[in-house]
Amino acid sequence: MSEEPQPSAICLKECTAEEIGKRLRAWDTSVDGNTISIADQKCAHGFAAGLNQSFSLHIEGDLGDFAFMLNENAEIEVKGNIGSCGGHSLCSGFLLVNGNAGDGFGAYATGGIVACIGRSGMRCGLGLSGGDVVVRSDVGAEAAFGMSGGTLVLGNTVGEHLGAGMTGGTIFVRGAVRSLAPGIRENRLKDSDTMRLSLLLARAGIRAAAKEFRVYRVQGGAT
Amino acid sequence: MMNAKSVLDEVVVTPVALMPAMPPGYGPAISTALAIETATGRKLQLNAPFFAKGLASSQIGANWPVICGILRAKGLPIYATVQELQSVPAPQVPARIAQRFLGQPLIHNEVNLADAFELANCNRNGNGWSWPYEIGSGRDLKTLVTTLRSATQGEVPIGMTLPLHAKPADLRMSLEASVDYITLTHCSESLASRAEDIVSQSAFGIVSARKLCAQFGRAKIPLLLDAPITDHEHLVKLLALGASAINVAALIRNAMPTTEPKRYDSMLTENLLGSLPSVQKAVRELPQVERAITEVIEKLHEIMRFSGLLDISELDLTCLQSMNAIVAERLGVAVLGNRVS
Repeated sequence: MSEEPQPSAICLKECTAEEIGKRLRAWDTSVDGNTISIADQKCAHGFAAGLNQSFSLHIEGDLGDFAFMLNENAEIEVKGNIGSCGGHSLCSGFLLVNGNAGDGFGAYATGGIVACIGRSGMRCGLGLSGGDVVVRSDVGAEAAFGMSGGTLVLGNTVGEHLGAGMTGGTIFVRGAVRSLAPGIRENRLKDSDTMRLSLLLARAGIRAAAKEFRVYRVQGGAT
Repeated sequence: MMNAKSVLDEVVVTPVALMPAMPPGYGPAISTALAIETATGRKLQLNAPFFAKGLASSQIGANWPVICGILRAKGLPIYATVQELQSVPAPQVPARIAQRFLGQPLIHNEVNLADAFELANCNRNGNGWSWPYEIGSGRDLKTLVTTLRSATQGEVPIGMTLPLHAKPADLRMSLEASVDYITLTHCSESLASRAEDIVSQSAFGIVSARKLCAQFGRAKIPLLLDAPITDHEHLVKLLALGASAINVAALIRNAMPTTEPKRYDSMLTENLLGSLPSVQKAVRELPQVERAITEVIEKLHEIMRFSGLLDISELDLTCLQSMNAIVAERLGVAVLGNRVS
């Protein structure tokens, strides 16, 4: 019987976010393994920014603002909440937050997937330009602010001015939308939309049928 | 009719100290190097206090690698993207300052491969000044800068672009965010469009910013001045007034040849055009541009020698005097004949 590989647990209770970042950036997956778990995090800002290793990272506890900024490749799961701008400028890889996320969740992501099982604050998917952002519960005002590409999936109610300053990309919404920004139109859900949405929901571990969603795009914008 | 004058035409550089005695033909070694340092000691070194900002490879065309080569040889950095420098042969690549404009994502390679990285609080055209959309307070800005520093492992100096006449509160917020340098940009939307007005505005702007930096406890922070100034003496006087380095892109642009072969652009591809001997020569050598940069550096050396200064850090307000009492008071320099202690 084959045993499951044990994750490399690092005791970083006393470490600052910068020290944790340093250790993770120096992580050699061929020597140290490719699964890491970090416990007891208490809202450190700028957590694990600039990572580009292909490892799997599990974090227990809450994280502060700008966590995982400028990350590439890493598959990350946070069992807690995350502050503002989590996954800022994410380039590739996957970030899953099991709790709630602050403002600007997944801001400026150019690739990869950023998902949140709880609620997210205002300006969720700010400046999104190629990445995919999924939020299962409610989101605040001005979601998709300045979005130019990628996909934003919102699983429940959405605040005011959805899509303000948006020039491209696709928004899927399941709940009520308080108000739409000028130029944002509801479109017919096409087969390609359904397929894309189903894949994203499955990847984020959200059980929902794609047909329950409505799709919004900017009038005349790029998808 | 009187010629229009800038405020710097009323200011003169005066001798401060005597130079060390040297045998005829030997000058003392004058250092004009400027270093922009991070807390970890990593630095961007400029051989002379000048840089090139606002030169786009798409506008410069075939001369782009040559301009880059000249800047590399002179030890001056350029504001450019990774993509713009990909076509430049490695020995000609100068130090690169990268920028992130409002509403743009941070790109991993742009940040990590830069010799310095700047958060520009304006759009690509240099207009529409505002804090980044993800910044709600000074605390957020500090966190963003700290996170950027962490993502680059402290290896890249982080700067902030502000308008030349930034409000004290905005300057303070940037300084408190622990940036390594600040670039003050003359706004193209500003009402000053005449050269003498731009010079005057730059002079008052840099003096005021330097005073505020001292007031907020960062007296020595490098202040980069981005204004279209071409007069060599004005450039040196602005350095004495408090600028740490000045943009010389306008000088370079003025010295660029308006080549005859441009007429064939529409008919011939760039490769075909480049094969013409006359074009190759014009592309390989840009003596006017090289001369323009050399001349401004020589002017700086000449003035420093005249003032008895061996290091650029000694070039300050004490080297200047004004014939006009009001100008002297506003710039914080001595009235001609009265030396400030």
